[in-house]
Amino acid sequence: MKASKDHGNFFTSNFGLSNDPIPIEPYFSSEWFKREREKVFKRSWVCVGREENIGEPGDYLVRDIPILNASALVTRAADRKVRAFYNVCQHRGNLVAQTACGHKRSRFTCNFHGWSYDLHGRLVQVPDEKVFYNIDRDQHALKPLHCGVWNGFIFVSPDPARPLEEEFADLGKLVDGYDFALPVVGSYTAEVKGNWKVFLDAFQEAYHVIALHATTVRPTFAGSDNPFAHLTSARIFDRNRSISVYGNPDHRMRPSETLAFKLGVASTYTPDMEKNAALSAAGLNPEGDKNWAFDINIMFPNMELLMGVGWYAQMQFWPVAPDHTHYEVRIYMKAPRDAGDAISQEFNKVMLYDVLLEDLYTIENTQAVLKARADGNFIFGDHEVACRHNYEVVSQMVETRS
Amino acid sequence: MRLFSDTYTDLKPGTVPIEPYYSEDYYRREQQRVFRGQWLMVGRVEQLAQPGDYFNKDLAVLESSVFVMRGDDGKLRAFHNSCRHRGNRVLAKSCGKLGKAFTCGFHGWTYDLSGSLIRVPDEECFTDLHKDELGLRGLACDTWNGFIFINTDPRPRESLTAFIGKEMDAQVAGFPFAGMELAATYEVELGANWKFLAEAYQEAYHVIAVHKDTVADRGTVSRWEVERRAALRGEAPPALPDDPTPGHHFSSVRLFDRHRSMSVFGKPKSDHQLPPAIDLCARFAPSPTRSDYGGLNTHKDASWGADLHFLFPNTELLMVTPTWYLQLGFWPVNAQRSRMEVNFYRQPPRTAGELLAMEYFEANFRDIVREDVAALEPAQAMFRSGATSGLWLSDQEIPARHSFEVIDRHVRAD
Amino acid sequence: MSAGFPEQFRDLERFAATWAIVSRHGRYQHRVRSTMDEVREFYDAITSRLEAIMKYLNRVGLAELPASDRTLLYLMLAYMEASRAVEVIGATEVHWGFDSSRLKIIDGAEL
Repeated sequence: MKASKDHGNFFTSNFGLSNDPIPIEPYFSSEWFKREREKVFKRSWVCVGREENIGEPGDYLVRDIPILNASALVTRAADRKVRAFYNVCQHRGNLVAQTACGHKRSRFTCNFHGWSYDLHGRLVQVPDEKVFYNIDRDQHALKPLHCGVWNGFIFVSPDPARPLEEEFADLGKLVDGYDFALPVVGSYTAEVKGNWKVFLDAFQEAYHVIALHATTVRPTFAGSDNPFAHLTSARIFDRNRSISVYGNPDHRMRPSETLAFKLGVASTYTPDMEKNAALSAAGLNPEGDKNWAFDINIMFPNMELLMGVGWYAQMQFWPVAPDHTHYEVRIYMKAPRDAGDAISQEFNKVMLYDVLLEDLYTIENTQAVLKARADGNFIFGDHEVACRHNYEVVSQMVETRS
Repeated sequence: MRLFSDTYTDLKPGTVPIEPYYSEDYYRREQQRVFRGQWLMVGRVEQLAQPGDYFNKDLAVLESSVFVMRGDDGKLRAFHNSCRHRGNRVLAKSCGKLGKAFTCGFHGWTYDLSGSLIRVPDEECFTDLHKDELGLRGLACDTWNGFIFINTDPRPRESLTAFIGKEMDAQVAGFPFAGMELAATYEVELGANWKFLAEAYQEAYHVIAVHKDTVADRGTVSRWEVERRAALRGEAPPALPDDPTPGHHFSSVRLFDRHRSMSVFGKPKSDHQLPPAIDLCARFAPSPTRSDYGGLNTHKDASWGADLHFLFPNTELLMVTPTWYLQLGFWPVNAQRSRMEVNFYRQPPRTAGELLAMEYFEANFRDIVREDVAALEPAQAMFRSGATSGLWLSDQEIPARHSFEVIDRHVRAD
Repeated sequence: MSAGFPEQFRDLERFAATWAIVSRHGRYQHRVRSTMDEVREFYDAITSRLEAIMKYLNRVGLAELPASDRTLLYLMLAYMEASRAVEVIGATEVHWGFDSSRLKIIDGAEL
């Protein structure tokens, strides 16, 4: 029988990926982790915030990037340009900016010996400068990080393999027109004993909905015509990828959900966009899938955007150690105008929280027993194609000589 | 006085090196050679009485979580608790009872009670999936006197019977293990190497100092305390009658190839004054007759107090009467951290008096364990300082030396 | 003590002291520490009055909502917690879950 979306290796073969089992070692090995630091994370773009976070000249933010053993300082200078630096004083290596964010700064003064830098990273003051023999201030500016902005998301990289625009060009076309400039209405964070790829994998497939989320969101994302929560479509753009998640049209709304939807947004329910064109939004459902719920756009290596009608969520998976990931999720929606909006948003926040408890629990359970099966494999089905693709991309980068 | 060293002359005298008690490298070799491929005690058959009963065991030293389950056919089987699909823990609870099959909570892969994969949701979307090759990864599993042992090698180099050996088997033959119930479990995690911890339970020398209050009802300890106080005052020790049975000495020691047995002196009741609570316990404790003492004091020591049986690499049985015993497990967490499990097994008490007596033994042992543990962490904290280059072990501590030598032999084996 | 509910919702005041909690974290904690009977009683009482409550609360914008109506708003936010337990999970907590004290709630603000 020919492979179809509901049978065989439809996506996997279309994307030219193999069916082989995937070795487990990269998901716990310290050696592999070190190579991921050098070959993957130093060569890739990671998101450190939104442009709105530093909207005005003099605004800045600081972001720890554990796998790079680095702290990034991101500034907006009077020329309105966004710049990023290693947050390290060039004198004795202390952190230049100690607070997570701030406003109206014209310079950063290291609190160790008082060396000062401006928003361009230039060294502008050295106390008792004459005792440093002919110091060349230009040689001691803050060390820059590559920095760019994509759809309002600020990205940095130590040594990017490609320019930011090129890296995310295809995803950019996919989400073109979507309004990302929304406030964060809720966010969660956790330290989880799990490899970042184990973590990401749990958020780039819907196969687990039927089992893990049996009592929470299964009726929403699996139905009689799609009992295994098959993806409605999937796309691969070099290192990045995008999947679309099915929404069950027969899903019976319960009172709280009906209320949430009536008042604003229920991320568990998507109206039929064909029938209700007014609700459709640019940058969503790229293949016009029937019974579409939301898209997951995965921006290599460690971020994804879950995007639906009237909401999106940004997830970031920050590797700390081979078995430790710092996790962040932010929910973006329009600022609540009335009590109804606030209550509607509460529904979405509460729903996500319960689902995350289930996911994170499973990630730690998975990691706990991986090492004992060092000789073992992961087996990815066709609808886990994004997990397989992630492994392929990472292992290719890790194994390149350079 | 050299009671034992002259018997076991092939054990090297001198200090035991200290590096193996903190080295990461040594610990990695222990993981490979002392724990992987060896028989490890993980529980009792009573825990798994019916088909479908299982318990989970998180074993950091194997970097795994392992579960043991009784199948439909009554057989015990052990598995790595990791789904063959994406590796999630298949059984999440610490113990329980299963029906005919069990399902991984992540994506719903289902296994039967023999560990075979029987159902894969949405199987059509997997290519080249052979369910018959995707049963849970098994470990070897067998029992001795009702104790369940596992071995990471599914086809171990030696049987459990051969591993235990005739000598050790004979030590406890006839002991009524089967009639006992688990009355209490203590667990403690501490910052000490697992060998250092286990060795504290293979010598009685420390009793005079560490347990001077808790085991004070043993005559010698109070005698030692009288001498210590005199020394603190700068006085000569008072004249006391010579004690023929020092409670901090072993009355006999038997070192086997890998395991060992030790017997501790006990004092006849009439020799020491009992405080009221202990006296009460002594009166109401089940009083077995001499003939019930099968599997105890097999060496027939005079003034016998208790037996300690240490099974390589990390299990000990502490046996005092036919009515209760303790099983201790010394599990490494990493090179400098361990977890000790103490399981207190007893004959079900028939009267309130028996219950009280058991309660006393149990509580007393808990305090003793707390004293042991308190002494170990500060010592471990100094191991890397260079202040100590080796551990001095006395003739009385020969089981601890043997314990180290056996482990070291495995670590160095090709 | 009266929570100052308008006349038509006076009967719901009995839930104010326990359920009208200002923080998301507090509301979640209250849900998981309650018995299912307590959660269900609260859920049922609110469900039967949903339309009326929302008509009342939504009569003005959030910024204009008088302080005296805030308690009722928090009660409705807590209703969303209760609804998960009653409508979806059938228990106050998810059956297999990560330790909720480790999944930190940072609401409406940047991390």
